[in-house]
Amino acid sequence: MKNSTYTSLRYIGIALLALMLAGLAGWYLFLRERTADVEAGAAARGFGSGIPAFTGALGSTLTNLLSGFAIEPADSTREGAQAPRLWRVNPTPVAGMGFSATSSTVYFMERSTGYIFEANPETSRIERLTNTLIPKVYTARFSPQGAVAAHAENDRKAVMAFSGTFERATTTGEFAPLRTTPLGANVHAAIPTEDELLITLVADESGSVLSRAALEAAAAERLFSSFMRRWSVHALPDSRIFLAEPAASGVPGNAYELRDGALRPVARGVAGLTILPHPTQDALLIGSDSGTALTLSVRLSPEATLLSLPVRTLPEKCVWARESLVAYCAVPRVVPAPNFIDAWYRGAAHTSDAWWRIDASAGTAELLYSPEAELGFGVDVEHPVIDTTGSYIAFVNSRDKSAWLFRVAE
Amino acid sequence: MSRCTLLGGLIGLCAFTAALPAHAQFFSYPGFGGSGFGTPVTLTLSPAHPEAGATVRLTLESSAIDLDRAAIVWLADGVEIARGGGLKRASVTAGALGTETEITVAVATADERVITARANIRPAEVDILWSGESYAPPLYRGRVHASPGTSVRLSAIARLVPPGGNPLADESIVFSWRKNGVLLQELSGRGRAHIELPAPLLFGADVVSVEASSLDGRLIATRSVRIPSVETTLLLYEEHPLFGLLFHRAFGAEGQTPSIEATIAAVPLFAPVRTPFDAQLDYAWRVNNTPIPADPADPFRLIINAEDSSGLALIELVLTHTSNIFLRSDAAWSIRFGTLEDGFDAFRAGAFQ
Repeated sequence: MKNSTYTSLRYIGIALLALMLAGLAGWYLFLRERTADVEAGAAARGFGSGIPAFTGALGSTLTNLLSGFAIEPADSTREGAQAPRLWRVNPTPVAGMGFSATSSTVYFMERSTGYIFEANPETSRIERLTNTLIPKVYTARFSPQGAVAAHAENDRKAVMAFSGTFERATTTGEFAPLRTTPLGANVHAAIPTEDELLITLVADESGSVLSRAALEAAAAERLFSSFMRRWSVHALPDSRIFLAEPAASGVPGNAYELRDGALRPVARGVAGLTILPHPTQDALLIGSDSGTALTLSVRLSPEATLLSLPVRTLPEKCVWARESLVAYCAVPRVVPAPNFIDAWYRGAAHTSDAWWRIDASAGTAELLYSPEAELGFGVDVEHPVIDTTGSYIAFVNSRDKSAWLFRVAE
Repeated sequence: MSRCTLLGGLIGLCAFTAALPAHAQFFSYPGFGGSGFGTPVTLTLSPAHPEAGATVRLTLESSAIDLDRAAIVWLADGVEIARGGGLKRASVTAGALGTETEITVAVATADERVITARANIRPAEVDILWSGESYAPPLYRGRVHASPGTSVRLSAIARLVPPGGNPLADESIVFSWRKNGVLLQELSGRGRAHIELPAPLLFGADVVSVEASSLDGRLIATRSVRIPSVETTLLLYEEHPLFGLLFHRAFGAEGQTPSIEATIAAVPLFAPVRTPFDAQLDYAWRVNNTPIPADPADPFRLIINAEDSSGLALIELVLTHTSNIFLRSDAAWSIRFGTLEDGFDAFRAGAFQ
């Protein structure tokens, strides 16, 4: 009896042990499968890249990002040769671009890292300049000297503004730190100027304050205060400042030049108003989005009558040549849908643009280049800037925030 | 045209009109008979308060005189601008800010009486700027609209320049605000250039006007704006771990993303809150008809993993507000995960480097 009980207990024990082993094996297999799933997912999302080696002119981060997006990096074999007329400088999102003061070299800041690069269209060379990591940079504006003012998202997902300067590394392949100065939250505009000043528009409960300060300086000169929290700010190389109400399709807006602390109107009651003042002259591009159609006009001087231009686009898609009354405008090839400016600002609509040359004094327009016709794809131009010689236009493609360079004359 | 010569030659009027006293500007204006007894004529300016450079239409009316049979001469600062039999209307361009234009009209009736009327044009201008106090992303470039339950900020930018003087400061201007024609007594007054009003009701619009006048009432400018009320708009974006919120790529009703797993974020544009994670907002998410509880810390974000699935997700969102009954926005998006967008296809080719 005792033997049979003992035997039974042994069998039960063995069975329990077997069950436990089977359970553990099952748990192991389950975990292995889940781990494989996670690894596969991570790999699919581009997280399987190796440890950055920090080599090459681009730095490894860009290469890793490109692989994560299944995008080929710039063709390094082209380096040394002149870039094509329309050159995709950087395929991943950038925060902004700006030309240097003395050449056609263009600076751009990577959106994912905050690294500053420069691209030379004459040699197709792209070189990374800084090594200060600043993730999620949404906007960046450059001065010709390379100073930058930008907006980035912090760890608490708040958008904060900062300015930055750097001294170029003397050794090839070395990167310089970006010395940043925080500007705080609620900075709706931060614009570094040619004379190394920083124009900021900061909103608070009472409205907004427009200030001017030296880069990296703590004290700022108050230029203007307003009950309105948001303005579209244009700070020009000759120190003129223009302010416009933010635009909305079909909603009349006003724009002003700020003179001695007072607002002098330059456009009043224009539906969906946006403007682009000439950097050195009195000419002003005036755009309207009536809600159903875009129109573009020019006023050559404050006393002159408004001259309607034969292209339908936004001044935000245009850039003035610095010393002449010529503007280059990216014009949608197809008439945009109604309420375009609202949809465009929200990222809900994009255009396929062609570059036109506008002779503002004659009121004429001439087609320069159509990426869709020439290359078979479209770019949605925003934030165009032009170099001092008027040879190159840099812009961001609003479809994916990639960086591009366009050579004006072929 | 020459000063008074034609009119003087016709009816000997120059000395008479020059002797008339100056009068206040703009308003309908009675003329006085030149032969010793008064005969009312009315000189009307349209617009009543012209801006600089505006075309001002001048209209002469009389209930006692047959103007159609009268000879009428119009003068601006003594310079003839129009003349003719029965010419009851003329137009003149207002000068710049800080100028004054004297309009004189002389009427020679069929019974040889001479009647004149005068008015002064002193251009003045005022703009109304407005913006809704609702939620918009920090870097949103467009105008912020007002939705029910929010408020509207309005600011009057007045340019009142006395002839030969300097622009008046806001403290020397009386601002009279009206909403839908009703005077806002509490918000109006001297120096009251800025006001804040409740947003219009749902689907409605308010017409807000302001009259800016100098303390002596000689300079007056008016302006009105129509402020619509808009519904909160739900926008859906992908939030990339490296690039942040992809504000440049709002999902349409049918969208796609190259990611298998993605964080998506709803932006309640023009909602009556300061932030999208305001505790008063209630986000009710559904994915493929299954309710998904919102993360209390990040209710406007949702992580979707489309691995081992068809990759198609029907995302529905209903947004409500705990105290604002006017806020109920809903939207649905059909998003295919793990699909390259059209824009990226071109870039894969690498043909345009």
